[in-house]
Amino acid sequence: MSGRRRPAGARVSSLTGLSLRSLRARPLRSVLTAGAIVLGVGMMFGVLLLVGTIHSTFGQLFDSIYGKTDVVVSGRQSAGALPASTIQRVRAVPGVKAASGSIASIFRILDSSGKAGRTASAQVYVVGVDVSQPEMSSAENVAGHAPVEGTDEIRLDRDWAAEHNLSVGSSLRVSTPTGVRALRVSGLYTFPGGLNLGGYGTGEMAIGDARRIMDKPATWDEISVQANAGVRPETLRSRISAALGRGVEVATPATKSQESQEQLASLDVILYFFSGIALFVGGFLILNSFNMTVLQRMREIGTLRALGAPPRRVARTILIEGVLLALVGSVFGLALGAGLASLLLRAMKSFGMPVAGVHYSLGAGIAAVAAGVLATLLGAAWPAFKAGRVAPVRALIGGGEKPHVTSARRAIVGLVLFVPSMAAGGLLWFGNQSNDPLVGIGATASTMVMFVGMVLLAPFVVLPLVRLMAAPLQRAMPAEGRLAADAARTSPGRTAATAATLLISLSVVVVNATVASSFVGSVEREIDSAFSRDLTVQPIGYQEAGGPQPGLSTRLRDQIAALPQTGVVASRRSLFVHNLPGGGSQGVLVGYDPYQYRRVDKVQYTGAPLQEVLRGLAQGGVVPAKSYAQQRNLHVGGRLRLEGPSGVRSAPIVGIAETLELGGQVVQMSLGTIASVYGMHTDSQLVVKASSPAARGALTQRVNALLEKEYPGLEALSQAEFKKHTTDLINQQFSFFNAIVGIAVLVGVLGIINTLSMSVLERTREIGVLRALGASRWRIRRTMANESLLISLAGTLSGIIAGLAIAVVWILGMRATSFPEMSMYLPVSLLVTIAVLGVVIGVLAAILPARRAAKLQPLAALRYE
Amino acid sequence: MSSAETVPALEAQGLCRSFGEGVSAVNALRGVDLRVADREFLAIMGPSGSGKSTLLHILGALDRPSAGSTSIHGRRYDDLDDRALTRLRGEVFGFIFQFFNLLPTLTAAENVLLPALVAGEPPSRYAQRTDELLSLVGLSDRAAHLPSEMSGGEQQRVAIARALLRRPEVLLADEPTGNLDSAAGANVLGLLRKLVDDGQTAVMVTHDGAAAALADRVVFLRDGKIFSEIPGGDGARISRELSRPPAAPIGVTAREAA
Ligand SMILES: Nc1ncnc2c1ncn2[C@@H]1O[C@H](COP(=O)(O)OP(=O)(O)O)[C@@H](O)[C@H]1O
Ligand SMILES: [Mg+2]
Repeated sequence: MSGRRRPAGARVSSLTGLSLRSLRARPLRSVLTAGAIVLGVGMMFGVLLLVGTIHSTFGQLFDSIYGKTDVVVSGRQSAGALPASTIQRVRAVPGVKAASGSIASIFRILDSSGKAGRTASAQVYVVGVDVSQPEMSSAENVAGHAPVEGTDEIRLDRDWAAEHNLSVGSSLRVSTPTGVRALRVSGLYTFPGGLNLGGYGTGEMAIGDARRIMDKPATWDEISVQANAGVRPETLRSRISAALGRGVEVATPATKSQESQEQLASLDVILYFFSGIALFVGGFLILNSFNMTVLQRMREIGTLRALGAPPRRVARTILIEGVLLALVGSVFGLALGAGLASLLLRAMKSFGMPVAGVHYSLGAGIAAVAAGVLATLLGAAWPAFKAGRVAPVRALIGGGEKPHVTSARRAIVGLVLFVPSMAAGGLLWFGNQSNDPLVGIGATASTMVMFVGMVLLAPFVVLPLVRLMAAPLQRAMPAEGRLAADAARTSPGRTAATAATLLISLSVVVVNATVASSFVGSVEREIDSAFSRDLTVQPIGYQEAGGPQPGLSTRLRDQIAALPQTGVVASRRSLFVHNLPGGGSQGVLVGYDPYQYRRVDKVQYTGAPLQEVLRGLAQGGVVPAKSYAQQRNLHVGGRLRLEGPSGVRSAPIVGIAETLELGGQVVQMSLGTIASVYGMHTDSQLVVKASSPAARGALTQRVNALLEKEYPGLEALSQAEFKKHTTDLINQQFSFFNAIVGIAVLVGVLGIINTLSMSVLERTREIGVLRALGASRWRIRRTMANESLLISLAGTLSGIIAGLAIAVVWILGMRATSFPEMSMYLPVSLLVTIAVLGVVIGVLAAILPARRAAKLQPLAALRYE
Repeated sequence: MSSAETVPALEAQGLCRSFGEGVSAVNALRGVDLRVADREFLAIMGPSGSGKSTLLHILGALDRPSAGSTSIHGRRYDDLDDRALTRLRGEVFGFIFQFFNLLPTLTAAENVLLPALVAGEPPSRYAQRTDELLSLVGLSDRAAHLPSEMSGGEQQRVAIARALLRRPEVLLADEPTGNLDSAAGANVLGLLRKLVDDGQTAVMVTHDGAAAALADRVVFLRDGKIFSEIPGGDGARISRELSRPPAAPIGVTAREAA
């Protein structure tokens, strides 16, 4: 008998069973709490997968293209081009078995009507290589042969070819820098390790043909080197490095791959941060939810204590409840995350980022679940601790005093956490544009501390808002309004905490949107005031701060210049670099002919008279943008060291440009300088001004006709279109982040539903009395809806207030330090949308609890103890 | 040798307990001396607010006195730390509440088993005892029922079984029949009496003279002090004692005493 595990009628065999039972006893609460974890873990997992996929795509890319390479010679961090002679100097280094140079461009395939596709899969990265040299990549020929010089042949990636129904011998029409070309498929290859660039194809041409078609007559973008047997790649690397100049980067494929992964690190941190917000808010919802249950179960917990339960055992039952929820929530979270990852990837692709299909990894799953469990444990820790300290006499007297939520101590601690961390957050996020991931981690940490401060300060904003809004509500609906307001006020801690989940997520959205709209507004103002160009000719979807670019040919430039309606054509050459000269931040080197460009756009220069700036530029000087100059403390009269693959020189700073283009992370120079230092001989954009305003229409027509016929991969944007293109790129980035934060707003909605259903439970007796007195179900529903509205509006409005406050401080800070050009522009339509969203959330969140309340039978409600 | 006779099961000396501070301070107990012998059934009576519950909480290690001492079988426990008091609650005392305080999500058997779970002991060790206790309180057939499926009297009997699970030295009950109708109340009281007859020591707070009559001894509390003491069994004397001036009108306070 005594061998039995449990007595008859008993199924639980430990307090864990009790945790399970209490989860089952409150299914709605359990589902909602787990829902917060689902969303938090889901977004975390989605972003982890996204990051993993980006990294694995780059990893695959490097493994494939450097499959048989020992050392890679390129411009610093792959930017810029090497002079043609470099290859001889490399070959002269002892230990070099073979060196093969390459140039690259992007072509777009044309459809039968001659139009260039806009999608990723319409594009193909083409490298020109010397086919007499050994193969340096891991590509394996699977059909046909290598392209033969002088035949305009191309060898294609088999998968991409198949997608476009191309096989050996077929011909394809592509848009290239020098116009439309018909190429013949000489062969097909695959990378045995697999290479999926999310639709982008790859191809290979013979170097002579490539030079002609890409209009890159005398440079190498990269040189791949193989070592003699017995020569270690690292040894060869240092020998070659010693033989070449400072601006040249000599690396092994491994370090190159690692370098690219490191360049992604700061993006990773930002993505983790935004996805972490949902978990933070989720953890906070859990804190709130468990606080409510501990308060509600005071008598039960007191009984456990009276029966001799030590505090830690009581605390453990609460924590176990949390962990159970976290584990169940995580399973669904992983499923959600897998879905979110493919959505995020699609968004990334639409920004022009080459990414493969979702790369699943066990590590990402484990990390997401661990983060979810951790957030849950952190959220449940305080309520569990409090539960453990419940006095046994609570078993008899029940209840518990409602904590005082607007104490002076709370305000002080809140401010002490909030103010410095807000200042630090602003400085770290926007202060110096460093791409050191440590800065991102610091920014994330300070922002999280700032959130904690906001949570503490929330009651001081939320509760007055509730009071403020309750007054008109009571006037409009005396009975229901009164009850709702009472409900929200009798549990101020709960009301404030529930609203705080919305407050935090929405304030991030508001800060994001305000910074974005201020950037956009400031850039638009600059374009309106300084840009007097009529047309911008550039590759479809061109991003100055993007990766490899097709480039424009000199022929196109001549063709446009020859049009009778053309007043001026000015070239702009932009080179994205990971380290701008004089600092460690990412940015763009811009080359233009100062006199010619001046006739098109009237960018303001400071620090020296205009003519001196122009002359200085023409003579090899540089002009940093004001923001960059301020961040790096650069002044006219100082010098910047330019180190490019084609040359190294110390350039005088001859002026400061008042431009916010590319976030002001720009150093400008002449076409000659960017060519001789960085090997940049092809134009990135052409900016065109009509000979007279009257000729503008005709010019646009002529240019469009030319592009359509000969350069379908390019587009000509009017001033308005260019403005939109520029601001879209800024908005796109911030919207992407806001979409990630959006999931945290959903967590806030769950929080409101949770609180309301708790409120229904607590007010069962009151509702019963109302029903017994003849109140209709509809009236009961309205009471609940009103409470919900009060909370959600208080949350959204305080989110707007907090977001604007933070944004104002940060933008003022940016003006004072890193972005002097920036003005504040409010995202009015978004703010209105959020306020409307507050009402919608309030109504939606009330549906379920209101149904429950209305369904209560008058008698049942009265019997509830 | 003779310690069994001389050392009381439960002893309190000079117990004081005040709540709050300054002008709003309430002195719930003002020097209570009390001895409960082994195998004795003691009833505590008194008007509402006289300090009965406070006294029982202190005796049951649910609360600590502001002054004075308590000991169980000669072992002092008023000065123990929280951890030790927690152990006492689980091992030495069995508490019965007016509102039963069964956990609503657990079955009758599971509620009986709860003190073992709470102490982290393997339930297998208590399987047989749980069955026995449920049959002792006459609820063998309700083992798998939830509290919501049982009457008040049945719930209170489950609570008694729960209090007995770990063979407490003293059983403490605060108005155990306060929430029951007279038949159910009589049933519960009969059960308590039987337990004492079988060797259990018990202290019960009640405002019901008939209930007190079943006890071996009755002490009367008034304004935080023991006011008088009589042997149990004599119902008439108990009602006389209760109505002695300056006693509050019992009819009114009895209900408030809840
Ligand atoms: N936690 C407490 N805080 C303040 N006063 C209390 C507390 N518990 C009891 N009291 C006061 O102590 C006195 C005795 O209470 P109690 O022992 O509950 O009386 P009884 O159980 O005899 O009705 C009463 O005046 C009561 O208001
Ligand atoms: Mg009492």
